[in-house]
Amino acid sequence: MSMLNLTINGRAVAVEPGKTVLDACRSAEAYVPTLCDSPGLDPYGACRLCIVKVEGLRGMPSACTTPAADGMKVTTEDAEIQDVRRWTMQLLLADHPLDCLTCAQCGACGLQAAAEYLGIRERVLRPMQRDAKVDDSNPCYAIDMRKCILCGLCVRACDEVQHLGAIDLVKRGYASAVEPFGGGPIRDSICESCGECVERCPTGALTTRRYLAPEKEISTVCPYCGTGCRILLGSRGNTVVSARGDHDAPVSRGRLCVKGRFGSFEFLSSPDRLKTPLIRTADGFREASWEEALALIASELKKYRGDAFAGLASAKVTNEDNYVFQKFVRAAMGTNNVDHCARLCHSSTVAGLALSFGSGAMTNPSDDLLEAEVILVTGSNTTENHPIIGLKIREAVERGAKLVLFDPRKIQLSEIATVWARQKPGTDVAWINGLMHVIIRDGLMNKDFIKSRTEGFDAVKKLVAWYTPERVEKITGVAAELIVEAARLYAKAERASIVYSMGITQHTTGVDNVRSLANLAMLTGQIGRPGTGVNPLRGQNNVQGSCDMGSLPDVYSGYQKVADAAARAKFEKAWGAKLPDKPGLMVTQMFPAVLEGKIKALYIMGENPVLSDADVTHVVQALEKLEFLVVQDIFLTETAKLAHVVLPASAYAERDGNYTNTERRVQLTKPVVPAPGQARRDWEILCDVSTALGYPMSYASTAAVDEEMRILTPSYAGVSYARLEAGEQLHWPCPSENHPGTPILHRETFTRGLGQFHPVEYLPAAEETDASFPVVLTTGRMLEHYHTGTMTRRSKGLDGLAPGPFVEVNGADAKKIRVKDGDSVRVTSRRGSIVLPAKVGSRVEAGVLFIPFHFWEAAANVLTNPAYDPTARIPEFKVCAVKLERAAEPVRS
Amino acid sequence: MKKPGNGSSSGKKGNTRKPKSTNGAGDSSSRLDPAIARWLVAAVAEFPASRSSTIPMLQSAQTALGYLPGDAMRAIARHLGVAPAVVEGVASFYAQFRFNAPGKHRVTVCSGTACYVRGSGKLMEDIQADLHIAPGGTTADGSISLESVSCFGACALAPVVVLDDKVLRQQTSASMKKVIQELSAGPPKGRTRSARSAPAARGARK
Repeated sequence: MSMLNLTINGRAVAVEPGKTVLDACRSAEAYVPTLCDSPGLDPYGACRLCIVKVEGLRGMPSACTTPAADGMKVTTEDAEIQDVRRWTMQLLLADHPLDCLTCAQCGACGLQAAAEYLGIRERVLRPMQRDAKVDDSNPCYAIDMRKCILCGLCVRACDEVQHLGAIDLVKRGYASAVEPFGGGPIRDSICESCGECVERCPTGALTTRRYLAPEKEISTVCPYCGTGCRILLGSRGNTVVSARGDHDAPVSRGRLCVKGRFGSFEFLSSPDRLKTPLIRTADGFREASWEEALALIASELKKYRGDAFAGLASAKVTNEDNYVFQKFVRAAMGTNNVDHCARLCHSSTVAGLALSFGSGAMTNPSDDLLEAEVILVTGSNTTENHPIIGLKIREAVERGAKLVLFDPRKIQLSEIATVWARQKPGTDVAWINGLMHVIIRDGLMNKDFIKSRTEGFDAVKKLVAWYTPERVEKITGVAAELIVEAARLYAKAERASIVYSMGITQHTTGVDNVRSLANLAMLTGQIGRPGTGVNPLRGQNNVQGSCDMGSLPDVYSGYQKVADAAARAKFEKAWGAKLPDKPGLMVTQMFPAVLEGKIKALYIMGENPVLSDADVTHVVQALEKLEFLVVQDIFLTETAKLAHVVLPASAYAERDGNYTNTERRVQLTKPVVPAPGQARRDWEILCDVSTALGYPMSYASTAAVDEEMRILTPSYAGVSYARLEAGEQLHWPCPSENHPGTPILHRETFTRGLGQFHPVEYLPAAEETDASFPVVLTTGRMLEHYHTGTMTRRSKGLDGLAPGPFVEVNGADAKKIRVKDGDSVRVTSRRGSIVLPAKVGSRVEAGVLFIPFHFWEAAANVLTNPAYDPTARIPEFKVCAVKLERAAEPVRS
Repeated sequence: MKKPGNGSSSGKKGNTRKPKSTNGAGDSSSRLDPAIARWLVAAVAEFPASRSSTIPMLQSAQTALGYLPGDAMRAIARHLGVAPAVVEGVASFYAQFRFNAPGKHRVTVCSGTACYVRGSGKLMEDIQADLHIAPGGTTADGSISLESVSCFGACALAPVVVLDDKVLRQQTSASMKKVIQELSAGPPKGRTRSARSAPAARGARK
């Protein structure tokens, strides 16, 4: 590509074609004042401050909208230019309140900076007062239209970055304003509170509610979902005071959702943080020293070595913490009873995709979605639960990709779907088989791919012959023609990608569902290339990593099986301990085992099963029955309250280590602030506990843990701190220091060799509706909260947006029991009953309810069915039978 | 709090295809006002789904419905594949579009030079006081909308007020008070009497 040569203020610069004069000025390090320019947005030319003179061009064009051309001679500053700029500024200042000293934007204000540069000392035009309201309806940010300069950055950010268009410039002339549709409070609009507009606003018109200018900023990985966005956390002293998107981040490129931007740091300095170890006494907890707590744990745990002990690791802590945890359970406690919440979200993925492809993880990076012609999304409310990946789907659709959506709820993606099918919850195998039936019937399968890359196709072909679109319609409620259209769109696309999440996995047929999707991808050859693949979106920021590290009962790190003698011998040698050969119990087996008296002591690191597991009444019974329970956490969670000893751990911003995101991308983080009080890193605590138990563990640093892990884990062998620090983007498998990593799996061959087709018959959900429990309940998350709310509910912004529980009820069902929006209803299953307000609307169909599981006041998991998948042992969170009644009693708050 | 249950009935930009749903239960279009629904069927057939249809569709909606209800703008946004805020942004730029249902009767006061000299400024103030609305507004009972026009072109009859399609000549605050009383009271019982026969409305048609 030949470069364009320009002269800026007499200095020669070369820029790539497609760049603007403004870009060229910046390359020449010539300052040009701007107000409406922002990285990643199209040039707009609204503020007229970036005017320059270009030899041969008439007047003063705006630098941001003038394409750079070869040979241009540009002047960025002379008396005439400055004079025009000054008058432009004076016009902006005429109705701008000059309350700079007390304005939230002071010091970071673009208007202030431009005025200063232009040497403006006073307002020369007659001051005008703009008659505009302050909209403080949104608890995360405030809108003060009096300070708006109508640069349009917020409107463009909402459109071009967030792909939403919640706001626009309305009216004209002096009445112009930025408003949501209908002009009401922003909170009642479709705004997703991502804060992209707030971050880009040059003035005090849009300001975050809780903001202090940071002293320094450090990039870290967001503590919430598995997308792997990076946040620049700003700190003052030992307190994190600000968060913004990191524009150098490979996955998020500066974008963040409401949780990342407004809810990622308040909880760190919450007064509720655990700061010292706590020991249970007859009347509550008392503070204790580390020595005392460790001594007590050691003396107690000594009694439970072997299979009477179990450990729950965490998908919220680093790879190093997880590695040390499973080593502690296996080597120090002599049992394989180690598992974590991945059991409850994607264990069916890990099991299912491992059987079909040989590797149980997302096959392609999330940016690949932008290359797909067709995206099939099912069981994933992506825009709420993985918002930044949701943005990529919206962007892809804007660029022309077609979205095929199978989801029983009217989620935001349904607005942009080409085909939206509302299957009955729990009928996924049926519609997937239906799609395959149509593809085979119409001859749309990829015969070459099936022949050269897979095995077992004939059995699937035979099985799906029964699943005609008409039969599938009877089972799933999805119209036959939608099945046909979806199948054709997916199969005919040059590149089609499958995206799924817990709507697929959290079923008693979870593994079946996953294997069906794998069959579909293999049938059409939509795998192993950019823009294709089978892409499970993992829920927690390090759930991929904690699985990779072996926090699972049947595998060591890198999915090396405990039952494999060679693997076991390798770990026994490295760890210097005899290791058990029998796979341990999974989460969903542990609590029943406690009730049966087989497990007597439990060590929980950073999990809250009292809210997160199915049928929590039984979980609480089990935890209360334990002879000894240790909980290591950052807060005194509902689970920690039941512990005998509680240990204070450091939170994500207070430790270093690696996180592996949903794309298998390993990202290194550094501490931003020190941990409060005596809180310590999880792996350090575990080393001390283990040492006290007579199995000494000690590491000089987190990096040293990583070094040991890499020697033992082939898929991570090449992922060194040095490479990550140098900015390399590494996706495992990365078997050596000079291996570039593997962003796309299964390119030439599947990890297991040939892809394994597996015929899957449709089976109904474990609990079907009947006369006593006639309604289907499905559960999930919402945009503003994360899991059991331990972190998000401590954010005033997030809590303000979504303060309490609710159940989504279809208008028809509400009418039947004479309930209006906001009225209390009672939802009862065979396992329990909760009372909460109804949210009446059309988001769910008649006969279906949805409850988010974040809220302890009305815990959805009191109701859910612990029946689990026979292979992955994942409970059926997504389907259970309930009844809905009008509640006389008010909702607890 | 934000309403996950029904807060997302917006159209989305960039995609001109409407989603096909298994069933229409709860789809916002099924709850549309019948007049809007009727207009929409014809409009969707008439206008191509591209941004350049924005203004023609807005004009078509206003002609059919008398103003631009929120649901009509939402429907336009959905058809064009843009966000509703974008449609409203365009519509609100132009003085020709109205966003509230017009009253049953329209009272337009001329504020042109001749009328103003003959006292239309005071006349307008008094009418506003009588109706308790500003120009551009509609009375709470929906009976009268008040507007002003810069010159009606009937300067010889100044000050001029136009009531619906009828020109009222040489109005005074007192004569307008009567007109307004009649309009607000509606036709007296037992007799149908049009506003046209109001005493102050003796002026000839233009």
